Amino acid sequence: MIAIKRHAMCLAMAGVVFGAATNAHAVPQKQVVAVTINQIFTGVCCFSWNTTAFANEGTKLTPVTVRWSADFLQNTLNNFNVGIMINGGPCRLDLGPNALGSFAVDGRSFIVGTWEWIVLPTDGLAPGLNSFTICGGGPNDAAKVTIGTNTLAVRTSK
Amino acid sequence: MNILSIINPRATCLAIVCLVVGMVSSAHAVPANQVLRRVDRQQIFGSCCVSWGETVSVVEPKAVVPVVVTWSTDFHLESQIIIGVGLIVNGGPCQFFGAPHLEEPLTFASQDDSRTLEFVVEPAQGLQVGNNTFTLCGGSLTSSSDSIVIGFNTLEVRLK
Repeated sequence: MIAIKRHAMCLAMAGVVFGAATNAHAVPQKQVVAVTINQIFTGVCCFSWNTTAFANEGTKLTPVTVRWSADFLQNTLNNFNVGIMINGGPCRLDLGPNALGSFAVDGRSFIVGTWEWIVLPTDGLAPGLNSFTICGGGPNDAAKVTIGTNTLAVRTSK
Repeated sequence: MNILSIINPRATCLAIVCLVVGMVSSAHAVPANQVLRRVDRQQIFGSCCVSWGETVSVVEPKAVVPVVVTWSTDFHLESQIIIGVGLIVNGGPCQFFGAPHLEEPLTFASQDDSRTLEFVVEPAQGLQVGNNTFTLCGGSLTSSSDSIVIGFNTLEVRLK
């Protein structure tokens, strides 16, 4: 009888661990974000562009893929850069492409672009919830860009 | 004799819990060779098509399924040229999947541009059970004297 109780307790513990671990990998509410307003950003790179998504990491950290797709309009003829802030850290421009692009500047035509960054465990990921915030800017205080409708998606599993 | 009676029940229980944790963690892991990040600049000369030296791999199950390969990159072209971009699947020829290409933007050619290209590889296009490799390839579609500068970029493969 005691042996049966031990086995039942062990099974229960395994179930609790399994449930907790599975739940940690469930899709968080804000693993994908859609922004449907135009926002104007002015100034020197780099600062937050106010779009953040989250990914849940297990105890064994895995690479995270971050994809940002956006309408944008360059209000001034400047080189703009874009990157991501990991867990509120500095703006990283070295996780993949960072050029916003070079397009005609007519003040009214939006262009669409997509960027995909790979975040490795050594880049500052931690077990639990991790945040990824779009950041960027231009080369001087007057550099101005309008970010239109955009989506941000992060994923940890294949 | 009941084998459980000669094994420490607590040790058995701990082993089962550890096994469950291990199984759950590994089921969600993304192998590192499915993603690649390059943070240098390389200039590639010549006509299409040559290997660009960036490879990712993925393991196909017994029932082979399509894969999606995504390349996101900064690049710079010196003039009005067209660069073809494809994939070498398992060491085969350079193939175009949807024939993506890079062109010089309309204006402001002094800075880098960026693009994200996505390739879908079907089972009949060279995929096999087990490990599969995907290497970027390409080159100029206009002249052998053309070149492309590839900046920071990421390459990723995943099963569809």
